Amino acid sequence: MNAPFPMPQGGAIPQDDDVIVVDAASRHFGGRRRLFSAVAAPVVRAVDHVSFRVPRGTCFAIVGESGSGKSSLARLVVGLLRPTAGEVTIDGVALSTLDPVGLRAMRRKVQLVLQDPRASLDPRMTIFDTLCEALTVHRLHPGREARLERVKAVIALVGLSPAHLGRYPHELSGGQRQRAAIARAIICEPEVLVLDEPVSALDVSVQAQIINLLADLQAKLALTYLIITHDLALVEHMADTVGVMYLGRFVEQGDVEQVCGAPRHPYTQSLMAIAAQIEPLNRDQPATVLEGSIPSPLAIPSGCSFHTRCPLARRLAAVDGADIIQTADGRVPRRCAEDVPLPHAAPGGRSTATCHFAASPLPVSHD
Amino acid sequence: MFVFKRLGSALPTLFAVSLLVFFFVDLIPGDPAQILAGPTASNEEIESIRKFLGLNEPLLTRYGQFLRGMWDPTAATSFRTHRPVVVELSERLPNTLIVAIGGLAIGLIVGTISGIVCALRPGGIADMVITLLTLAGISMPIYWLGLLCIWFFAVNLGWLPAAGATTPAHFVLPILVIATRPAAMFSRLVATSLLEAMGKDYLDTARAKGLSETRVLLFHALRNSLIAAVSVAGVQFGGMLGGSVVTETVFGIPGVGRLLVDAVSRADYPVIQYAILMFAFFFVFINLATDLITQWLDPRTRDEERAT
Amino acid sequence: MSVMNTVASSPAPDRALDFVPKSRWTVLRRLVSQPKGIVGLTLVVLYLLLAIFGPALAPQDAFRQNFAQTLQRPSAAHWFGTDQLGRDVFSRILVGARATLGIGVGGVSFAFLIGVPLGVLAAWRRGWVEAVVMRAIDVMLSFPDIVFALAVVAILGASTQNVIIAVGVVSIPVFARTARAVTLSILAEPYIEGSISLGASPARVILRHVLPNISGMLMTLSTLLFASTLLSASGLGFLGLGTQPPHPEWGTMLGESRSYIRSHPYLATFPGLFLAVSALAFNLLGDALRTIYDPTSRRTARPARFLDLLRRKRAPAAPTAALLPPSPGAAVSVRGLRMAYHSQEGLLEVVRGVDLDIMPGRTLAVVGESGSGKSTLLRAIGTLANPQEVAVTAGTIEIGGESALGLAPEALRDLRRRKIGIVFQDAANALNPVLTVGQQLTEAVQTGSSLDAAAVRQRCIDLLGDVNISDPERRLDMYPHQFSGGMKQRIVIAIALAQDPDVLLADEPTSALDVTIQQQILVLLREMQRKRGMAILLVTHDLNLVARFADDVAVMYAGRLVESGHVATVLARTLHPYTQALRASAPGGAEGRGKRLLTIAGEPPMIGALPSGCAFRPRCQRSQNRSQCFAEEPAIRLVASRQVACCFAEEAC
Repeated sequence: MNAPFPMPQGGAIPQDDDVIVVDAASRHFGGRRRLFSAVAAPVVRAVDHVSFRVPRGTCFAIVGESGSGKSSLARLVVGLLRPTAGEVTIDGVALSTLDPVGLRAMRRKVQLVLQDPRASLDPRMTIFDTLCEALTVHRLHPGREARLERVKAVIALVGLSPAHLGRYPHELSGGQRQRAAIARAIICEPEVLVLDEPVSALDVSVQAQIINLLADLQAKLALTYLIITHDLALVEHMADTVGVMYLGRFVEQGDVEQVCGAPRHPYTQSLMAIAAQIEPLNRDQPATVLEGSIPSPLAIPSGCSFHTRCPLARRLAAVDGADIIQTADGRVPRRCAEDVPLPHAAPGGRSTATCHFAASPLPVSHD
Repeated sequence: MFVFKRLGSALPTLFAVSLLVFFFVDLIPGDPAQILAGPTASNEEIESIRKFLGLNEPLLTRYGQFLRGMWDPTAATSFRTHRPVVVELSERLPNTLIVAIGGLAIGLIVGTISGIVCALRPGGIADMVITLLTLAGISMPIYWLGLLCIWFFAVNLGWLPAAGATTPAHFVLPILVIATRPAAMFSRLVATSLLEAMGKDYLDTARAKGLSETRVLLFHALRNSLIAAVSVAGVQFGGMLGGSVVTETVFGIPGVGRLLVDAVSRADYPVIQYAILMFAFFFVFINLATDLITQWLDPRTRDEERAT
Repeated sequence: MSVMNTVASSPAPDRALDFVPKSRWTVLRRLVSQPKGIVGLTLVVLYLLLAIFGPALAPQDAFRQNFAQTLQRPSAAHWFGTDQLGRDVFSRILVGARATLGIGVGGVSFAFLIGVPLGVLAAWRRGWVEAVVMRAIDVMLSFPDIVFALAVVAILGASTQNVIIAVGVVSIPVFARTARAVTLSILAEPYIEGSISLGASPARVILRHVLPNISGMLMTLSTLLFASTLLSASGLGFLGLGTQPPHPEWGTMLGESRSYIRSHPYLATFPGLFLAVSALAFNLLGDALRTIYDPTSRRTARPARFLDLLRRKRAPAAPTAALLPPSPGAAVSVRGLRMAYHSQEGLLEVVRGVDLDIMPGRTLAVVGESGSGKSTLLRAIGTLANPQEVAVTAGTIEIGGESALGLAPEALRDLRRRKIGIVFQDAANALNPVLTVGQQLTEAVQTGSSLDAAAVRQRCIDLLGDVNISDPERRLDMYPHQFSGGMKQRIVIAIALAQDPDVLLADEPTSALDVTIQQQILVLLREMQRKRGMAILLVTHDLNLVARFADDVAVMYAGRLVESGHVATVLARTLHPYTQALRASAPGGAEGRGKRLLTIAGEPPMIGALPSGCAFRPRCQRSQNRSQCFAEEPAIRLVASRQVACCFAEEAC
């Protein structure tokens, strides 16, 4: 273990320009007895011991399937959920040190943009009212005139016209609604935008507009982005660093070029293999299919949580002489089923993969 | 397994209900014995009533005595008739049940059929007529409807007896009158839930199998919509038991509802207490039964229960 | 019913559904546009006027007894007759309106003021507060309502004021329950989370976001409860336990008339009538409010009807002269298909002249955005388009050489069974939740076949095995919710394949699934296709998926196919500006990280509001406002071995 660890699981080393520092944060649900209920609810480890940091002005992407815990992680960063263990630090302030009022004030710095703009705007408020609410809550730009000024400035920034201000969300198109949602997020000059699947509910031809808008805003306002998505193409386009999440943990994290260009964890490898099949010429090659589906977070597999689906483990198990055991999901190396893997840094240290065999990978093959 | 669990969760409710009914006498503002005895009573009289009510006993003894009254004829007697409350209630219960169950059954059948008719042709003439009728049914005071029916069928036409409970014919009018409300409720419920089910993709899956439209509707859509109807049926049955208070008065049927009304107007507290307790226990068990039936009809809730 | 009809036939139901009224005036307008609403509102206003001015309008003293004129029939002097004490019934009804309706108003307000805060509090605080409130409500609901009210009267004594308390207490649990339920559903809305993450305080969230959004439902509930409260309060009066004589109240008056029902039936008629109509008025108003505020109460779906099938048979399905003949041997052949939604403004064209062929063993992907008409097209080919919502106005559809339009029900079922299999986007919705997988599969296998029970079961097991579901025998007895999303989609595919269809129609079969599961389903579909040689029609918005999976592609825009051909040909070099832009605007292509994406200006057009000439013109980068683009809808032509509908397609060659 003498390899350099820029982002060890055990604790992130904060640097001066890191806006978001998540240090070994966990969020477990349930486990408490409810009133009038005899048994304790089972524990769901939605987020388990996750660490990462995001330097100012960059974009960090969390990639994962449904049930991977990526939304819970995002809500830990926004402060909508409190970690059951670990710490989230925003702009040098640890969220656990804040009382509810302080936390609300802190929220000015971290804003959330949700997937479905239809649902994320109050149907009974005009766009103007929605935008003003942010200013009222944080007592910014007091006075009618100043407020109107600010609202108009922001609305222009996101590419809407003042004519849209008097409208209700249902009177706008999908793209316009998402622009309004972004306007609400940036109106009180936050440091961080947490983008939860920001384009996946939009029409394909509108998605590019919003992606460009987000890029422009990041450059203009020096924003730091935390983007949650399942779309690896979007990650490659927007993000600087990425964490690939599986059952509440990062299986691989690091620079986007490194993780997406030369994935080292078998899970990332299979995701990238699917994403790479976009050219018609590739379609006659047999696809790598990951078997099974993501296990329930109520029953996370022992050892490496990916071992129940891992193609690498299957291949290794086929090699004679290895220490193999039989599980319900097939034959896998004993280490995979029993030992929890540790993060392993890539040569050069620009990414880490949490796999027993990351140090000595078998050649990736598609057969 | 689930049955026991559900029974277990009903116990606290039953306990709370019995406590509430038990403290009922204490909720009466002022000294109940004083009120019972009347303004002219002497202190001795009041004291004897206190003793009779057991107001001087410790709370726990009183509660035990109260619970014993549910089956022990000697434990509670009516102020008015001085007969055991248990006897008074059990004599009248069959009449009440006949009317409630009969009314519910007819309401269920009529309501379900008319609901299906509505849903099959929304906007059609049948739908319009039934929708108007259901609205009228829900808005109709059953005591007025009862009076009108007595006047028309018993007085004018002379087909049926007007009051009493001696022959089966006596029960026809009350059952029909009391059936209007559940019939109207079911009709709307079945129609809305059927129409809701009709928007689901699984009906198109069924159609793509080549099934007939009748089978698609009755086997696939109706089954799903009945789940909602069953839980309402439970509440309705409770409502019918409550409604017996009014119907039995209108039709002069000697039932528990009538007994309760008489007891309230004459401040016969033991009878009031046990009649209310009986209604509440019935209601709790009916809710239990409907929960179990819903559970059985809807596999999703079965597993939810198992999971939690 | 008219509102229900318009909702049912609006072209984009989801857009119509989330419409929430702007202000009270909008509510009023929508209220009076319904027959129920206008009648209910008028009656309610009349009743309220009666309650306010009734006593002043009474022609005679409602309390003056006149033993010379007891129990008189209605006459000019006494419009509604006189009662057993010779009092004027008409005057008593006018005077009694205030007590009767006042009890209703008082009871509902009492219940509202206690129940709603309790319910909102329970939903907001959760935890033990909610547990205690809900348990208390359970206990209260254990008493039939009129019995509970009787108990309250027994404790407090019979009087108007106590009846208000009694009926009010009875309604508290109803308010608390509903308030909790609607608050919970509003709190689950993303905009609440958005507001909290903005830093809004709990009080602000409740006052600004929760209360305005639940007010409509609560208003509806209050109106409906008012009707039932009125009835139970008057019921107490009828039993002699409400308003005490000599004060008039309609229920009490009814109770007094009971003894005279044989001899003087009109005595019961008028109070009963006033009571019934007032309950009706509030029920009507409540129903009308509900159609405005409760989206689930609306009748959005309508069944196909026998009559309409007949009507459709007579619909002009005759091909026009310009249509090409269907391709021989094609599994699906569509010619000149036009479809239109019924709406208030008349027919809105959603499919505008589509020609397509799918040969056996091939996969055609129809790509388009929302509103392009792609799903409507798929449903039409699947013979599942709801004739009440959308009509085929022109063109032909042939499946396996048989026309799919204008069939009698029997023939239609036969066609569906033998030739068509359908897979939907949301597998959870496509399976009946209350039937086991085995029952649903059996149905698909058994319909129209003569297999015995054992053979049917074996076939079901084989089918599940075919779609790679392990342990099929045990799985047959399981219910859909016990499977994961991917497994459910496999089951839907198994059902679709049960009778070896000629064509499998798949409407976004993987877009609700995770990437890795998506891949599994696609591989499965391809394998099934290879084994069975069936045609697949895949509807999707995802060009990457098309590249991975389809043989042929048809790009749909505003109801027309703008570019179609072999996937390799079309995607290697796209000719239509829309297809080009779609390809170029997807991230992850050649643009490189952080570079700007090429975008398409504007948004997809709404159905029925298409621009003149070429529908894509306002968003087109190639058009440069050339007059040809304004003048006509470009014809579909063969350019560089694919069909393309652009006047200047050659410019891209």
